[in-house]
Amino acid sequence: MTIDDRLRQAADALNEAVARRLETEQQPQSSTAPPTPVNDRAATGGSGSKTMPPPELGLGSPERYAKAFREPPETSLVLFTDIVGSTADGQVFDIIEARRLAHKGAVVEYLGDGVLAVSGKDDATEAIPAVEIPEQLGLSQSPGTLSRRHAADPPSVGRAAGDLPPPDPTGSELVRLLKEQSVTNTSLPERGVVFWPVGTGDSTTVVVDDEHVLQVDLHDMASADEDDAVVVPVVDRLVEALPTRGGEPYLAVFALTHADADHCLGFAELLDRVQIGELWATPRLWREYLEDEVELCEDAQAFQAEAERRVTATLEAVEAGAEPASGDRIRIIGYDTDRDQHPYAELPDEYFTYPGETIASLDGEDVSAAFEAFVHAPFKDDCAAARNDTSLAMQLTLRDGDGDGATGGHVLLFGDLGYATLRKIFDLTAPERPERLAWDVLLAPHHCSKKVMYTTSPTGEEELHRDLLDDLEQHGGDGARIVASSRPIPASNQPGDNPPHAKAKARYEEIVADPLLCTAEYPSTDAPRPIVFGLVAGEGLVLVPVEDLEADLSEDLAAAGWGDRAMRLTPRRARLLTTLGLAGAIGVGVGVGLARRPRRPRPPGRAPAEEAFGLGRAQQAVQAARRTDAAPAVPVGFGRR
Amino acid sequence: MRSNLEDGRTAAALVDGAASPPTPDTVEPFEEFMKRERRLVVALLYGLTGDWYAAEDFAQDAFAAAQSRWSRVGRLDKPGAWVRRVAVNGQRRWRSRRLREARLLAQQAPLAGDEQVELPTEHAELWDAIRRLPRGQAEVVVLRFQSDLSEAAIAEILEIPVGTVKSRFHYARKTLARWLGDDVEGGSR
Repeated sequence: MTIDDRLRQAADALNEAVARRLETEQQPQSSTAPPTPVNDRAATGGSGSKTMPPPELGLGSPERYAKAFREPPETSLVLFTDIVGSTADGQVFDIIEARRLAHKGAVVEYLGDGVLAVSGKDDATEAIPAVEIPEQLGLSQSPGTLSRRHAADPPSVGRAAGDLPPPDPTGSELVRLLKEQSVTNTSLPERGVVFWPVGTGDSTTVVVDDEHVLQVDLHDMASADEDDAVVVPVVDRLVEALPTRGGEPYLAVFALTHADADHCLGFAELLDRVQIGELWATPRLWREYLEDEVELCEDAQAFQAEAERRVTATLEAVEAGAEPASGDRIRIIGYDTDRDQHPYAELPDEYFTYPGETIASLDGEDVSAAFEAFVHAPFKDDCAAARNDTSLAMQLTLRDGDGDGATGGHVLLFGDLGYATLRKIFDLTAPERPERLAWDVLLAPHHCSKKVMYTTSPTGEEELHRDLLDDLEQHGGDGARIVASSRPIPASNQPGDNPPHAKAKARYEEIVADPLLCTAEYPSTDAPRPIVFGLVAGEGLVLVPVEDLEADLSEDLAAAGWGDRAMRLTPRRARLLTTLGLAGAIGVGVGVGLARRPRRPRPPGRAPAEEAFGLGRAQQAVQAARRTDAAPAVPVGFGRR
Repeated sequence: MRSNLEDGRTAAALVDGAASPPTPDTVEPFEEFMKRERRLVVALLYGLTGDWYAAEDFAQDAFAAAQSRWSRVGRLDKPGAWVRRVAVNGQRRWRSRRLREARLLAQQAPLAGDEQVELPTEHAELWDAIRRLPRGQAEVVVLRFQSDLSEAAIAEILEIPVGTVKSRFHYARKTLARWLGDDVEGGSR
């Protein structure tokens, strides 16, 4: 049987089974009218509302949540409301919101008409007494059960407390996670990625742990202004913040995507001031050195000289039966048809990585528990193409833990690739290994260039390639963010003014829920700060707010009631990412480290514990996941029959 | 049998507007449109999600959206395509949220009980495989076979080029055949 035959048979069986089920579900109803969608706005508008079936509203999948709450929580409490007719009367949400504020609870999630809220109170019904809602609505209702699905026909209000199944020794997973996050989130993550404000250029720092840092590209302007952007002297900041080995700042790996100045400016200085364990280089520079009339900036030449020195050192070490020392290591990524003309071709296989392969070591040390780089490009077929099209492209994975409880986060770095090569990457990888295209953070290729999704025909017509945007969207994680490493993005561009391009930004913002983050604009164009994503247990890579980086942790944690536990949970290892994140823009005057700084006043009415830590963070995370911080815009019920 | 339509028209014909497309002056009553299309849209969503309540919810959302705009949607050449687009977009959001929930809850096991539709057991493996495909490929496969749609109609619903539909369909069938040990023959219909 062919796959098409099976698909046809399965599709027919599905259609028939669904038809049977729908007919079965309609049989008990006295009315023979077709089921009408429950649109409470329409219903409250009066037209035909009397003939509609009562709005049956409920939580999306209560059983799924019920499993998570089998163990009565100790300090975090959870409440479900499941109120028939709630969306027909927005008053319900007003009541819940008033009670929540009164008890300093946090709404974790809205699900249709359901509300999942968390509070520090010992009793959910005390925190948000759902049972009062019908009373306040003037309805004669009694407390119901968890879900409308389990309730009798009369309108009911459900609450979780007291109606849950007996404790399950393995249950309460979500509560456990929430509790853990309430604590661990108060410590800044130890693992993450930093995008520096360096104008239109790339400087990305990946913190794997307190020993291993990977720098992908560098654009150190070493001055205050580039166009209209305020920039950071990245090398100075790295020297201050990097771990040390032998008393010197130590960078495990420097990877160069391609040798344009906006990706390697400052490399010579970095090499001079920092001990770089390993270089990741593509074969491209060797090819260009054989070609005439190729212009390379001084830093690109310095990189190539260092790469060639390391090839020699590695060959000598191998010949002596040893491995190259840290500081002499090099990895060649990609294949060039002219390789036989260069000494690097003599390196043993383990010093090469090709598209489709992964790297799980940095400077010869296994970091596979925490980090992995999957190489997408450069492709052999492009080895003689324009330099941008030979960019090193990688999916970086950061992991925390292993097994089922592991948290991972993916960053896609595509250098300056344009549409054609990106299309090739997705076509080659999506069918067989879609997980290698997954991303939580995407560095917009080529500094937010529109050439990623637009091409121009020979007749000058611009064509939008929505297929690539679809593919990016498809592989983006929930709450995925896109970063543009560029000067401020203009509201519109003149012809030839690219990158960054306003149209690219607009297209990107169509595929993710949150606004694109531009390094020159975050959090403001006057005082840009590094954009820091930290790997948070149970959540993944999350944007670390500037306030979090600056906060005096102990003060806030004490206020949040965590006290001594918080102090124990502030790991020394968290400081590296924090330090990098705090290495702010020049002119802002931020010191390195967790120095005390004047606190930014909080908005009135917001409790410290909610704003950046604990439950508030959980709430933010779920809101980000749902891509909204309010009830659905169209409160159509999750109707059941 | 390619559909369960009472009047014998195929789903494809309806969605493609080949069968008696409404003229601007003769808008089909919404109730009739929904009565005819609902089961097919629910089946489409169930094929994609494997969750009965999610399928019903997103079908309901889609029809509610159509109802509130029926004066405009009802005049479209293909209101069925419009509803399917809204429904498929809805399940996309659900799918990513569900993956997140699954990670949080560490409950990767299929849902049990009345959230499922009773399907012949011999198809279970296939549906499971379809839902493990990349989202775009799964959508193309289900729209092609469950909804019996042409590549052009699928392209319109998903708002992607026909060429992308073809490539996703190609890769999806190839992947499914490899996972299930079937042959890829017969090409697209």
